[in-house]
Order: sequence, then C-alpha cells, then structure tokens
Amino acid sequence: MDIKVPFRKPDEIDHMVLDLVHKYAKAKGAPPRPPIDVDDIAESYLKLDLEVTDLKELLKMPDVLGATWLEDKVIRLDCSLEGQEGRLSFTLAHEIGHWWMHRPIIEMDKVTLPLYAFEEGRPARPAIVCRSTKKDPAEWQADQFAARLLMPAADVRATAKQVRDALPVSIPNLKATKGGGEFSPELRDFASEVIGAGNFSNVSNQAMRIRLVDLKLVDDANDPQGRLL
Amino acid sequence: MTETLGDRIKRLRKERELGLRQTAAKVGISATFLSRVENNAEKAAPGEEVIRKLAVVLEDDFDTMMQLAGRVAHDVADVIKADTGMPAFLRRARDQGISSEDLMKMLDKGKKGKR
Repeated sequence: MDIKVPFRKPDEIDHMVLDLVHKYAKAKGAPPRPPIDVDDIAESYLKLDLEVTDLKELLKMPDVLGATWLEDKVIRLDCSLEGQEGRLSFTLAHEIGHWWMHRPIIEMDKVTLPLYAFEEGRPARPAIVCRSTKKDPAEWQADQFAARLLMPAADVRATAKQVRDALPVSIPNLKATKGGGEFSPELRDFASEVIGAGNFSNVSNQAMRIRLVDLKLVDDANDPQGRLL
Repeated sequence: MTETLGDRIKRLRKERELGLRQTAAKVGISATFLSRVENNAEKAAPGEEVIRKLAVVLEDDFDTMMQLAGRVAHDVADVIKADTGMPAFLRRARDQGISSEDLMKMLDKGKKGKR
C-alpha cells in the first residue's frame, strides 16, 4: 500500500535536508562533512534503534532493503546490504528521510500504515517498508532526501570543480543514462574521482552518477543544450 | 526481568553513545551478528575473544559478560583442569552456601595472616 504524501518539489526536499543538517550540526557543535555519518544521525541524534537483520526472510519480501517501525522507533536494514557501504548508507539515509519527512504526516493525519510483525508471535506494528522495485512518491522523496543528505550539493560542486577544469563535463550519449540505466565509462570515472577527492566513501558510484546528472555537473556531448536531460 | 547479555550490550552501547556498526567494526564482527546478539535472536553466544573485545569497547566487566553468555573463560577452565581437587572444592563451597565473595574474604584474610 502506498503512503499518501503531499507532492514536494526538489527545493522543498533541499530545505528539509538542510533543516535536519542544521539541527544535527547544532547538537554536535560542528557541521557534518563527507562522509556524512548517517548512522550517527539516526542513532545518536534521532535516537532511533538500528538493526541489521534478515528482513527479506522476516517480511517474506524478496526485494525489501529497509523498513522503519515508527512506534517502536526502529530502523531495520536487510543484512544483504552489509559489506556494501554505499548501498547500506543510502538505504539508511532513505529511512531517515521517511522518518524526517513522512512521520509527521503519518502521525498528524493518522494515515493507516500496513502492519508488520517483526518476529513470529509478536504483535504487528505499523511500518514503512521500502522495496527496491517499488517506487511510489514517498519512496521517490526518500531517495531524493538520501542523495541530498549523503552528497550535499555544495560539497559535490566544490569537489567536481577541484577534479575537472571545466564544468559541466561533456559525456557522450549521456541521455542514454537518464534514469539510472547504463552509464558511460566517462561518467563512471568522473563519479569515482569525485568520490575519492571529496571523501564520499559511503556513497556508491551509481548514486554519485545520478547526483552529478541532477546537479547538472555533466552534460550530453551530443546535446550540450541539455534539451534531453 | 533478568538482563540478558544482549540487553546489557545494547544498554551499555547506548550509554557509551556507540553506534551499532561502529561497535561491530571495533570488535571485528558483523553488524548483523551484533544485532542478533543484542536482540536475543542469536542461538550461539559470542565466543570468548569476541566477549573480551566487547568488554574492552563497552568498558564492561569481562567475567560478568562471560557469565551472561553462559561461558567459562579458558584461564578459569585451565585452573579447574589443572587441579583434580578443584571440582570437589567448588562443589563443597556451593553445598555449604559459600559465595565467591566469602571465598575472596577468606583469601584476603589468609593473605594478611601470612604477613
């Protein structure tokens, strides 16, 4: 079942991420720098319990990666993510996005969430369950939130400027990459350089590629006006 | 309700403001395993070396953690194995209701008497 959330423009999501980052920075006494410690944001600042477990087996869903039990204040990540720092951090940042953006809506409007029991014999509780193959508006927003949290625009831009003389970088056939499909080797290399130079060690190459496209730090060599992006 | 090893680890980890993955990395175990231990979902208790590292990271008492894990440290087992009279001594102490605290006091007293 989809969670009914209001439409949010990208700059509204920017503001919501900045709101969290400012509050977190105030609590910590310093602004976070990449790699953004999303574990600390979730556990230390938001006081959420983090668990890494076999969610796929427990929820009988082969494509589940993360879930947030709102009443219990628990984020559970699937154990298949362990060892994949980029994917795990992105999923955790995504769940933080649900907590920060959607929990107030759910609590205020008393939207009925599907009930999930974490363990057999235990009562089912309302939870936001995130599946890799299902992208409703709430999931899209949480992805956008995660990208902005892990890859702040100012840091990505500054690093991109540091590694390449001229921006945007022209990538042949970039249009073919829109939507996260097959990416050109040139874009992959550029993303690797930005990850390395900017210390984005908890960001996957794929997530950085999408972020570079979204921030218009790359353009299509065959369509420099960006009509196709 | 009695605190389990998992409850204790989770409580101390939070008191020390340590993250789940941060703690697991310091101890050299997977976050999945630590998560299962903390939530009393792991059938096999962590081994002695893992408990030793957990005790250091969480600044906790190793023997207390070992007891909660239902384990006997190797050095303690060696003491018992090395002295054939040790099992009988421990059984007798138990049967007479002598606690480890009482035994410690007796040992301290004996030490002072020798001086």
